[in-house]
Formats: sequence, C-alpha cells, structure tokens
Amino acid sequence: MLRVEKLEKSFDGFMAVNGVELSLDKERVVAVIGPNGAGKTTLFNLITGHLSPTRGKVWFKNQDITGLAPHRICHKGLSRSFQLINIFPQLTVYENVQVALLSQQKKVLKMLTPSKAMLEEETYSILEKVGLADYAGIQCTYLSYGDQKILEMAIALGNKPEMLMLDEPTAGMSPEETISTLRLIRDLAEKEKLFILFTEHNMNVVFDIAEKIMVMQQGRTIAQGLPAEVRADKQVQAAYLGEES
Amino acid sequence: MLNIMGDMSIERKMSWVKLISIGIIVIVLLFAPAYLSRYYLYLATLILVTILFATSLNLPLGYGGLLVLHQATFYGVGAYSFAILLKETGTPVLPAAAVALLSALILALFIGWICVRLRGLYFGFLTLAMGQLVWAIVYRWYDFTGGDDGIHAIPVPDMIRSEIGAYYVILAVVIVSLLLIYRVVKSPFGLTLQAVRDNPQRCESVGINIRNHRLIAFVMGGGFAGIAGVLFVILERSVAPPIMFWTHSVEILIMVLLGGMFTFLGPAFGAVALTLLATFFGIFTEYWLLFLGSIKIIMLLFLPQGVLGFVEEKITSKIRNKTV
Repeated sequence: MLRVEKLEKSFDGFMAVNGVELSLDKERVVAVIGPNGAGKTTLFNLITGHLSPTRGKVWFKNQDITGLAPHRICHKGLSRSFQLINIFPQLTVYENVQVALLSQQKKVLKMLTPSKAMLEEETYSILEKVGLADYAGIQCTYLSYGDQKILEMAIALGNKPEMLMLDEPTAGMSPEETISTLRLIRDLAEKEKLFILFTEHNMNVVFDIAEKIMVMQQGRTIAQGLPAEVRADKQVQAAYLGEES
Repeated sequence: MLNIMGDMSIERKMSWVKLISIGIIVIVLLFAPAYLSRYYLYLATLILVTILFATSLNLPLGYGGLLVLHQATFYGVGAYSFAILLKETGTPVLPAAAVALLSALILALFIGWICVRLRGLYFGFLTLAMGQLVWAIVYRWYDFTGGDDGIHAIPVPDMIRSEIGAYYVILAVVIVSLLLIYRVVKSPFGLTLQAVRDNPQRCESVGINIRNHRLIAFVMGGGFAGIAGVLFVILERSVAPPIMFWTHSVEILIMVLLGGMFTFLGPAFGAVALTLLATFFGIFTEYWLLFLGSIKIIMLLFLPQGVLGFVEEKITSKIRNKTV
C-alpha cells in the first residue's frame, strides 16, 4: 500500500527526517511513535506532498508519488488529518465535510447549481459515522475541542480515501474522548477497510490498537515491527519507553 | 445541540426578511424614474454601476480572501474597450460590450495568472503594480486612448441615450449580474472558494487546486468589473484615466469593507452609502472629505465586520435567543 524508501529532509542542514523506511502492506493500523521533534509530522508532510523530500522515494499503491502536489496525492486515495486543528472556521460542520466530498467527486468547479443539497446523503453518512450528525447545521468553531478533532478526521473521510493518515488524533482529548476516538479508528479499519497510519504520544493508545509500530528518534527509524517486538527492543527502551516506565 | 432545529428556523426567518426587503428594493428601483428628478436619476444610475463594481471586487476579496488592491484596472479596461469600439469603429453596442467583457477577462487572466503565485500583501501589491502599469499605458497612449484627455462624446445608440433608457438598461444588467454572482457564491465553486479563503492548506489536503480556484475567482471578478465599466460608459458617454487610477480602487475597497465583505449585499450597501455621503457632504460643506474620513475611521474601528455584517450578526443572535 505505502512504501517509504530512505526518505530524507534537511532544513538548512538540519536533518529533520534522515533515512526513514516504512512499509504498510497487510497491516491496517500502523503507528509512528517517537519523542517530540523526532520528525513524525515532517514525515507525514513528506508523504502527503506538503513538503518535498531532499532525497528518497514515496510509493503509494505502487505509484511513485514523491514530490507530487498535495491535491494530486489526495485524489489518489491518500487522505490526512492534522495535529493542530485544521478545519474551515467560517463554514458549518456539514459544509466542512461537504467540501471534501465535492472535491473527491470533482464537483468543485460547478458554478450554476446550488451546493446546499448536493451530496447530502454522503455527507450525513460520514457525519453519522463519526457521531457529529446532530451538529450538522452549526458553525464548526462552536464545537468542543474534542469534536473539532473528530471533524478534522471527518473531513479526511470526505475524500473517501483508501488510506488515512492521522497526525496525533487524540492529542488534547479527555480520556473519554480518547477512548471513543480509538474505537472510531478501529471501526474505520475493520468495517470500512481503511488503512490507517497515525502518530501518537500516548503509549497505551499505541500498543492497544496498532498492528505494527515504527519508532523514530532524531529523524531516524530506530525500530519497526509488531508491538511486542518493539516493546522488547533495547534501543527503543533506552530511547523512549524508558522515560515512561 | 440546543439549537439545531433553531438554526433551521433562523435560516428560514432570515431568508424571509431578506426576500421581503429585496422585493421592496426592486419595486422602489423599478419606479425610480417616476419620482426622481433628472439629477437624482443620474445619481441612482451611477450608484447601480458602483454596486456592480463593488460586488465584482467582493467575489475575489470577500469570498476568495484575495487582497485585490486594483480592481479598477478591469473596470477601466472594460470601459475603454467599449468606448474605443463605439467611437472609432462604430461597432454596434452588443458586440462592442461583448468584446469589452472579453478584454477585461483576458487581462484579468493574464494579471491573475502572474499574481496568484503570491499570497497576501505580496499578491495585493503585485495587482496594484500591474494595474498601475495598465493605467500608465492608457494615460500616455494618446493616439489610441486619448491620453489624459480621455474619450468624449461616445456615440451611444438612441435607445439608451436618454436618462430613463440608460437607467433601465443598467438596472437590468446589474440585477442579472448580481443574480449570477449570487448563484456562483452559493454553488459548489463558491463554497469551495470560501473554504480556500479560510484554510488553503487544508484545501490542498482535500484535493482542491487552490491556485486554480483563486485564479477563476479573480478572473470572474475582473469580468464583472469590466461589465460595470461598460455600464459606466453608457451612463457617462465619456471615459478618462482617473477611472482606472489606484485611488478609485481604494474607494471601492473601502465600500466593500464598510458594507461588510462577508455578506453578499454588504458591498452594495457600502456603494450606496459612500456615494450618497460623498454627494451630500459635497453640497453642504467644502470640507466634506474631512467628514467622510472621520465617518470611515469610526465605522472601521467600531464595525470591523462592516455594516451589513453587523446587522446580520445582531438579527441572527436575536432570533437565536428567542428560539432557544
């Protein structure tokens, strides 16, 4: 599905991402973990085209997508959410998701038909899936922080992706919200057959739901494998897990 | 959770209020020649042209978030193309207007294609610079544009020569144009345009080509400004370089900001208010610019969302309080 080969990104000589390797084939839920500043978000930006790599390749469904513009990568079926809330503040909850659907159906250049009722069913089906249907008509900035994070994910779902990349989906959420978000992620993987790649701070979260874990430190991949293998890895324990236990 | 249903009825009430007020405005406008003197009819016609001009700017500015600093370029090019065609070649009105519209569109496409590469203030200043370049050409090219003398006594056909004829033609074109712009704003393109304005980065991630979207909005705005320019020639039967000088663009920009750039009719309101203010302060005092300036400062300080933006906010919150 996704393969990242020797990916490098340097910012004026600082190697934010340094030779990262990652592959997703059979595993549906894969986590990228690592301390702050390890390069997780940069890696995401490199994969989704928001940054172009200094060296290395990104393959998605056996196509080379290295350096393509974000909107092109998105249309190939790779969709993402952001670590900081990144929604359309002046639009309603409904419209936030509708825009993504309109884009996915290549209807954004239609000019003479009213957009209001367009793709209504699809929009509501996504809103129901994530539990935001009740809030459809309100301006999205009135949502609670946790719900805005969920909306963030709903927008990404609007593109009907085959693979979803979530950058710290539960950051800043209350424990209850975290639990329901994790349930949602698992549902998406199992029922919707989505591939999900996510970054996360919370170790419990990761070992609970990830089928495979990649650990980054200072821009490098230091371990990759099943949760149990990663947990047992000496280097990982020294670098990261040690702090927690 | 509280007012999901409330919101629906707010929308319905708002749209009733809007519909009724628009109905009244249309009736008032239709019978304007019956009760307005010649001068006031001229003023009303000028205001109509300005309304279209201001609304044309609001498409890229308010809905697209593009800081277009020199919209008068396209207004001027529309006006000049129309004037030159009528005066020098004797082309009939409709084809001349079509060519004028086309020239405004082509110029907007050219300038826009270069400018959308930049963002924010840089974008704005580039539109300003390119617009002033066009102005300089018009100002200097005596053989073609009449230079700083402009073009006068433009032969407009008899039907639209009379004040009343001109008024109705301009009224019709302005209403049709506004309806078209309204449709565009409410279409998927318009919704996406607002999304591009609010969050371009996220738009890219949901697969929208933001540069393309911005360019289209910019070109459409330029086209409607060109139509307003044509209407201006029908009304005035003369053109001169000041109509495409940057200060004219700033005047229009202030109208849009004052009326409320996140509302559809805000720019129209700004156009009416500022044109009337300028006219009446001009009659009563020599220092009208001083008063006008003070009013503008006060309004921009206290009503940053514009007059209509402010009114809309008040009405919405009032109805919401009632329904909750």
